[in-house]
Amino acid sequence: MKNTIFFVLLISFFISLLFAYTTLEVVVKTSSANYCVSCHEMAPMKASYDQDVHGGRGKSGIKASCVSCHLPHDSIINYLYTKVEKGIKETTIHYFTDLNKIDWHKKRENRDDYVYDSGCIKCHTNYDDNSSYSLKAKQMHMHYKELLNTNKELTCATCHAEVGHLGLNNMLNIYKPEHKIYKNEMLRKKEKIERKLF
Amino acid sequence: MIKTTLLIIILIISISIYKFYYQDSRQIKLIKIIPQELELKKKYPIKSYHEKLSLKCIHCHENQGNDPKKFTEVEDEQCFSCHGNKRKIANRTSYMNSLHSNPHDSMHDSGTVNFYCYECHQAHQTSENQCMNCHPSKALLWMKEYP
Repeated sequence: MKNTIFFVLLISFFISLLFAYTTLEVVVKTSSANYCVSCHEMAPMKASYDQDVHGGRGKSGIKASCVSCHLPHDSIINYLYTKVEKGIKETTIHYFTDLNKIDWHKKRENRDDYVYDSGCIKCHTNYDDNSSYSLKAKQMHMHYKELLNTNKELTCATCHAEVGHLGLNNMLNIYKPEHKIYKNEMLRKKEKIERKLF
Repeated sequence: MIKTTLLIIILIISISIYKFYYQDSRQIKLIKIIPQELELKKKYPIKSYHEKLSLKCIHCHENQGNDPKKFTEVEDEQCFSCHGNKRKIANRTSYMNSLHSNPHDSMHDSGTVNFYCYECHQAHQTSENQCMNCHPSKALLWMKEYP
Protein backbone atom coordinates (compact mmCIF):
# COMPACT_ATOMS: atom_id res chain seq x y z
CA MET A 1 0.00 0.00 0.00
CA LYS A 2 2.71 2.43 1.01
CA ASN A 3 4.69 1.61 -2.10
CA THR A 4 1.78 2.39 -4.41
CA ILE A 5 1.22 5.79 -2.78
CA PHE A 6 4.90 6.60 -3.13
CA PHE A 7 4.84 5.48 -6.75
CA VAL A 8 1.76 7.56 -7.57
CA LEU A 9 3.25 10.60 -5.88
CA LEU A 10 6.51 10.19 -7.77
CA ILE A 11 4.78 9.90 -11.15
CA SER A 12 2.52 12.86 -10.47
CA PHE A 13 5.59 14.86 -9.44
CA PHE A 14 7.30 14.18 -12.77
CA ILE A 15 4.12 14.83 -14.75
CA SER A 16 3.68 18.21 -13.05
CA LEU A 17 7.36 19.00 -13.66
CA LEU A 18 6.95 18.21 -17.35
CA PHE A 19 3.76 20.28 -17.44
CA ALA A 20 5.49 23.24 -15.79
CA TYR A 21 8.42 22.99 -18.21
CA THR A 22 6.19 22.89 -21.32
CA THR A 23 4.14 25.81 -20.03
CA LEU A 24 7.29 27.83 -19.44
CA GLU A 25 8.62 26.94 -22.86
CA VAL A 26 5.31 27.93 -24.51
CA VAL A 27 5.18 31.21 -22.59
CA VAL A 28 8.74 32.08 -23.64
CA LYS A 29 8.25 31.08 -27.27
CA THR A 30 5.06 33.13 -27.55
CA SER A 31 6.65 36.30 -26.20
CA SER A 32 8.75 37.50 -29.14
CA ALA A 33 7.71 40.41 -31.33
CA ASN A 34 7.65 38.14 -34.38
CA TYR A 35 5.12 35.86 -32.71
CA CYS A 36 2.99 38.75 -31.41
CA VAL A 37 2.66 40.21 -34.88
CA SER A 38 1.03 37.05 -36.23
CA CYS A 39 -2.23 37.97 -34.51
CA HIS A 40 -1.87 41.52 -33.20
CA GLU A 41 -2.31 44.39 -35.62
CA MET A 42 0.89 46.26 -34.96
CA ALA A 43 2.92 47.21 -38.05
CA PRO A 44 3.22 50.94 -37.13
CA MET A 45 3.87 50.00 -33.52
CA LYS A 46 6.67 47.63 -34.49
CA ALA A 47 8.21 50.22 -36.84
CA SER A 48 8.23 52.88 -34.11
CA TYR A 49 9.47 50.38 -31.52
CA ASP A 50 12.47 49.66 -33.74
CA GLN A 51 13.42 53.36 -33.58
CA ASP A 52 13.23 53.52 -29.79
CA VAL A 53 15.85 52.74 -27.13
CA HIS A 54 13.47 50.11 -25.80
CA GLY A 55 13.65 48.41 -29.19
CA GLY A 56 17.40 47.94 -28.95
CA ARG A 57 18.58 51.28 -30.31
CA GLY A 58 20.51 52.18 -27.16
CA LYS A 59 24.27 51.81 -26.67
CA SER A 60 23.79 49.40 -23.80
CA GLY A 61 22.35 46.76 -26.11
CA ILE A 62 19.39 46.15 -23.86
CA LYS A 63 16.15 45.38 -25.63
CA ALA A 64 12.73 45.22 -24.03
CA SER A 65 10.25 42.79 -25.53
CA CYS A 66 6.55 43.48 -26.12
CA VAL A 67 5.56 41.59 -22.99
CA SER A 68 7.98 43.55 -20.80
CA CYS A 69 5.59 46.49 -20.86
CA HIS A 70 2.29 45.13 -22.19
CA LEU A 71 1.75 42.41 -19.61
CA PRO A 72 1.52 42.85 -15.83
CA HIS A 73 4.54 41.72 -13.86
CA ASP A 74 3.14 41.90 -10.33
CA SER A 75 2.36 38.19 -10.06
CA ILE A 76 2.77 35.09 -12.22
CA ILE A 77 -0.94 34.24 -12.07
CA ASN A 78 -1.94 37.73 -13.20
CA TYR A 79 0.70 37.57 -15.95
CA LEU A 80 -0.54 34.26 -17.33
CA TYR A 81 -4.20 35.20 -16.96
CA THR A 82 -3.74 38.48 -18.85
CA LYS A 83 -1.65 36.77 -21.52
CA VAL A 84 -4.36 34.19 -22.23
CA GLU A 85 -7.16 36.76 -22.04
CA LYS A 86 -5.44 39.18 -24.45
CA GLY A 87 -4.43 36.34 -26.74
CA ILE A 88 -8.01 35.13 -27.17
CA LYS A 89 -9.30 38.68 -27.60
CA GLU A 90 -6.73 39.66 -30.23
CA THR A 91 -7.11 36.45 -32.22
CA THR A 92 -10.86 37.04 -32.40
CA ILE A 93 -10.32 40.62 -33.55
CA HIS A 94 -7.71 39.50 -36.07
CA TYR A 95 -9.99 36.99 -37.77
CA PHE A 96 -13.50 38.33 -37.31
CA THR A 97 -13.46 42.13 -37.49
CA ASP A 98 -12.74 44.74 -40.14
CA LEU A 99 -9.20 45.79 -39.33
CA ASN A 100 -9.27 48.89 -41.51
CA LYS A 101 -11.91 50.40 -39.29
CA ILE A 102 -9.71 50.45 -36.18
CA ASP A 103 -8.99 54.04 -35.16
CA TRP A 104 -5.46 53.80 -33.76
CA HIS A 105 -5.21 57.50 -33.04
CA LYS A 106 -8.19 57.26 -30.72
CA LYS A 107 -6.96 54.04 -29.12
CA ARG A 108 -3.82 55.79 -27.94
CA GLU A 109 -5.95 57.59 -25.37
CA ASN A 110 -6.46 54.23 -23.65
CA ARG A 111 -2.75 53.63 -23.29
CA ASP A 112 -3.15 53.46 -19.49
CA ASP A 113 -4.99 50.18 -19.94
CA TYR A 114 -2.38 48.30 -21.91
CA VAL A 115 0.90 49.53 -20.50
CA TYR A 116 1.56 48.09 -17.06
CA ASP A 117 3.52 50.09 -14.51
CA SER A 118 4.71 46.89 -12.88
CA GLY A 119 6.51 46.17 -16.16
CA CYS A 120 8.18 49.60 -16.30
CA ILE A 121 9.21 49.50 -12.65
CA LYS A 122 10.70 46.03 -13.01
CA CYS A 123 13.58 47.65 -14.92
CA HIS A 124 13.28 51.31 -13.87
CA THR A 125 13.45 50.47 -10.18
CA ASN A 126 15.04 53.77 -9.23
CA TYR A 127 12.45 56.05 -10.83
CA ASP A 128 11.52 57.79 -7.58
CA ASP A 129 14.92 58.43 -6.08
CA ASN A 130 17.29 59.27 -8.90
CA SER A 131 19.61 62.21 -8.36
CA SER A 132 20.35 62.62 -12.06
CA TYR A 133 16.72 63.53 -12.85
CA SER A 134 15.71 67.14 -13.38
CA LEU A 135 13.82 68.93 -10.63
CA LYS A 136 10.59 68.69 -12.60
CA ALA A 137 10.99 64.96 -13.15
CA LYS A 138 11.52 64.44 -9.42
CA GLN A 139 8.49 66.59 -8.63
CA MET A 140 6.27 64.75 -11.10
CA HIS A 141 7.37 61.31 -9.96
CA MET A 142 6.53 62.36 -6.39
CA HIS A 143 3.15 63.50 -7.71
CA TYR A 144 2.70 60.04 -9.24
CA LYS A 145 3.51 58.38 -5.94
CA GLU A 146 1.14 60.64 -4.04
CA LEU A 147 -1.74 59.73 -6.33
CA LEU A 148 -0.99 56.01 -6.17
CA ASN A 149 -3.86 53.97 -4.68
CA THR A 150 -6.31 56.84 -5.11
CA ASN A 151 -9.11 57.24 -7.63
CA LYS A 152 -6.95 59.66 -9.62
CA GLU A 153 -4.13 57.22 -10.10
CA LEU A 154 -1.72 57.91 -12.94
CA THR A 155 0.26 55.40 -14.92
CA CYS A 156 3.73 55.79 -16.41
CA ALA A 157 2.27 56.00 -19.91
CA THR A 158 -0.12 58.81 -18.99
CA CYS A 159 2.80 61.23 -19.13
CA HIS A 160 5.35 59.23 -21.13
CA ALA A 161 3.04 59.23 -24.12
CA GLU A 162 5.25 57.67 -26.82
CA VAL A 163 7.42 55.59 -24.53
CA GLY A 164 8.80 52.48 -26.18
CA HIS A 165 7.57 53.66 -29.56
CA LEU A 166 9.54 56.71 -30.65
CA GLY A 167 7.58 58.65 -33.26
CA LEU A 168 4.39 56.61 -32.85
CA ASN A 169 2.23 59.60 -33.83
CA ASN A 170 4.20 59.98 -37.07
CA MET A 171 4.13 56.27 -37.78
CA LEU A 172 0.37 56.00 -37.27
CA ASN A 173 -0.10 58.97 -39.56
CA ILE A 174 2.06 57.32 -42.20
CA TYR A 175 -0.11 54.20 -42.06
CA LYS A 176 -3.39 56.02 -41.71
CA PRO A 177 -3.19 59.80 -42.22
CA GLU A 178 -5.45 61.82 -39.95
CA HIS A 179 -5.71 64.45 -42.68
CA LYS A 180 -6.40 63.51 -46.28
CA ILE A 181 -3.91 65.97 -47.72
CA TYR A 182 -0.95 63.84 -46.61
CA LYS A 183 -2.23 60.66 -48.25
CA ASN A 184 0.11 60.47 -51.25
CA GLU A 185 3.24 61.47 -49.38
CA MET A 186 2.50 58.99 -46.62
CA LEU A 187 1.92 56.13 -49.07
CA ARG A 188 5.44 56.63 -50.39
CA LYS A 189 6.88 56.68 -46.88
CA LYS A 190 4.89 53.61 -45.91
CA GLU A 191 6.39 51.57 -48.74
CA LYS A 192 9.87 52.48 -47.54
CA ILE A 193 9.09 51.44 -43.99
CA GLU A 194 7.39 48.20 -44.99
CA ARG A 195 10.55 47.10 -46.81
CA LYS A 196 12.58 47.38 -43.59
CA LEU A 197 9.93 45.80 -41.40
CA PHE A 198 9.71 42.09 -40.66
CA MET B 1 -1.11 9.24 5.17
CA ILE B 2 -3.10 10.21 2.05
CA LYS B 3 -5.22 12.60 4.04
CA THR B 4 -2.23 14.43 5.47
CA THR B 5 -0.51 14.72 2.05
CA LEU B 6 -3.74 16.02 0.56
CA LEU B 7 -4.16 18.49 3.38
CA ILE B 8 -0.62 19.76 2.97
CA ILE B 9 -1.02 20.12 -0.80
CA ILE B 10 -4.32 22.01 -0.41
CA LEU B 11 -2.74 24.24 2.22
CA ILE B 12 0.22 25.07 -0.03
CA ILE B 13 -2.03 25.82 -3.03
CA SER B 14 -4.36 28.04 -1.02
CA ILE B 15 -1.47 29.96 0.52
CA SER B 16 0.15 30.58 -2.87
CA ILE B 17 -3.15 31.68 -4.43
CA TYR B 18 -3.78 34.01 -1.49
CA LYS B 19 -0.28 35.41 -1.80
CA PHE B 20 -0.49 35.99 -5.54
CA TYR B 21 -3.90 37.58 -5.49
CA TYR B 22 -3.74 39.75 -2.43
CA GLN B 23 -0.19 40.99 -2.35
CA ASP B 24 -1.22 43.89 -4.57
CA SER B 25 -4.69 44.53 -3.17
CA ARG B 26 -5.30 48.22 -3.41
CA GLN B 27 -7.16 50.42 -1.01
CA ILE B 28 -9.04 53.34 -2.41
CA LYS B 29 -8.71 56.59 -0.57
CA LEU B 30 -9.58 60.08 -1.65
CA ILE B 31 -6.90 62.65 -2.16
CA LYS B 32 -7.16 65.88 -0.29
CA ILE B 33 -7.83 68.92 -2.39
CA ILE B 34 -7.66 72.36 -0.89
CA PRO B 35 -11.13 73.98 -1.30
CA GLN B 36 -9.50 77.13 -2.59
CA GLU B 37 -7.88 75.13 -5.37
CA LEU B 38 -11.23 73.62 -6.38
CA GLU B 39 -12.77 77.07 -6.63
CA LEU B 40 -9.86 78.33 -8.67
CA LYS B 41 -10.14 75.37 -10.99
CA LYS B 42 -13.70 76.37 -11.81
CA LYS B 43 -12.57 79.87 -12.61
CA TYR B 44 -9.47 78.77 -14.49
CA PRO B 45 -10.33 75.36 -15.98
CA ILE B 46 -7.43 73.40 -17.40
CA LYS B 47 -7.39 71.25 -20.54
CA SER B 48 -8.52 67.63 -20.33
CA TYR B 49 -5.06 66.22 -20.83
CA HIS B 50 -3.69 68.29 -17.94
CA GLU B 51 -6.76 67.59 -15.83
CA LYS B 52 -6.15 63.87 -16.28
CA LEU B 53 -2.79 64.28 -14.56
CA SER B 54 -4.47 66.13 -11.64
CA LEU B 55 -1.99 68.96 -12.07
CA LYS B 56 -2.03 71.65 -9.42
CA CYS B 57 -1.68 75.38 -10.12
CA ILE B 58 1.85 75.51 -8.78
CA HIS B 59 3.07 72.75 -11.08
CA CYS B 60 3.07 75.30 -13.91
CA HIS B 61 3.05 78.61 -12.02
CA GLU B 62 6.34 77.89 -10.38
CA ASN B 63 8.28 80.58 -8.51
CA GLN B 64 5.32 82.94 -8.72
CA GLY B 65 4.55 83.05 -5.02
CA ASN B 66 1.53 81.76 -3.10
CA ASP B 67 -1.12 84.21 -4.24
CA PRO B 68 -3.05 82.87 -7.26
CA LYS B 69 -4.23 86.39 -8.12
CA LYS B 70 -0.67 87.36 -8.91
CA PHE B 71 0.01 84.39 -11.18
CA THR B 72 1.14 85.39 -14.65
CA GLU B 73 1.54 83.63 -18.00
CA VAL B 74 4.25 80.99 -17.94
CA GLU B 75 7.38 81.10 -20.06
CA ASP B 76 8.24 78.51 -22.69
CA GLU B 77 10.87 77.04 -20.38
CA GLN B 78 8.16 76.07 -17.93
CA CYS B 79 6.35 74.10 -20.67
CA PHE B 80 9.63 72.52 -21.73
CA SER B 81 10.37 71.32 -18.21
CA CYS B 82 7.84 68.57 -18.98
CA HIS B 83 7.55 68.65 -22.76
CA GLY B 84 11.29 68.49 -23.45
CA ASN B 85 12.37 71.07 -25.99
CA LYS B 86 11.38 72.58 -29.30
CA ARG B 87 13.24 69.94 -31.31
CA LYS B 88 11.47 67.11 -29.51
CA ILE B 89 8.06 68.68 -30.04
CA ALA B 90 8.84 69.28 -33.71
CA ASN B 91 9.79 65.62 -34.07
CA ARG B 92 6.44 64.57 -32.64
CA THR B 93 4.68 66.02 -35.68
CA SER B 94 7.49 65.50 -38.17
CA TYR B 95 5.26 63.61 -40.62
CA MET B 96 3.89 67.05 -41.52
CA ASN B 97 7.32 68.08 -42.81
CA SER B 98 6.51 66.34 -46.08
CA LEU B 99 4.22 69.25 -46.98
CA HIS B 100 6.22 71.85 -45.00
CA SER B 101 3.23 72.27 -42.74
CA ASN B 102 4.72 71.17 -39.43
CA PRO B 103 3.57 73.95 -37.07
CA HIS B 104 6.42 73.19 -34.67
CA ASP B 105 9.05 73.35 -37.38
CA SER B 106 7.68 76.19 -39.45
CA MET B 107 9.47 78.53 -41.81
CA HIS B 108 7.75 81.37 -39.94
CA ASP B 109 9.30 80.22 -36.70
CA SER B 110 13.04 80.44 -37.27
CA GLY B 111 15.79 83.02 -37.16
CA THR B 112 14.52 86.35 -35.93
CA VAL B 113 10.88 85.43 -35.63
CA ASN B 114 10.03 83.12 -32.76
CA PHE B 115 6.68 81.85 -31.62
CA TYR B 116 6.01 81.30 -27.96
CA CYS B 117 4.01 78.24 -26.89
CA TYR B 118 1.14 80.31 -25.51
CA GLU B 119 0.56 82.14 -28.78
CA CYS B 120 -1.19 79.01 -30.04
CA HIS B 121 -1.69 76.87 -26.94
CA GLN B 122 -3.84 78.41 -24.23
CA ALA B 123 -3.90 76.46 -20.98
CA HIS B 124 -7.06 78.01 -19.52
CA GLN B 125 -9.14 78.87 -22.56
CA THR B 126 -9.80 77.73 -26.12
CA SER B 127 -6.56 77.75 -28.04
CA GLU B 128 -5.97 79.88 -31.07
CA ASN B 129 -4.50 78.37 -34.21
CA GLN B 130 -2.16 81.05 -35.54
CA CYS B 131 -1.87 79.30 -38.92
CA MET B 132 -5.54 80.15 -39.52
CA ASN B 133 -4.83 83.88 -39.45
CA CYS B 134 -2.95 83.81 -42.75
CA HIS B 135 -3.99 80.45 -44.24
CA PRO B 136 -7.69 80.29 -43.38
CA SER B 137 -8.61 78.01 -46.26
CA LYS B 138 -5.64 75.64 -46.01
CA ALA B 139 -4.79 75.36 -42.33
CA LEU B 140 -7.69 73.03 -41.61
CA LEU B 141 -6.51 70.65 -44.32
CA TRP B 142 -3.14 70.45 -42.61
CA MET B 143 -4.17 70.07 -38.98
CA LYS B 144 -6.91 70.12 -36.37
CA GLU B 145 -8.76 73.32 -35.63
CA TYR B 146 -7.55 73.85 -32.06
CA PRO B 147 -4.10 72.85 -30.98
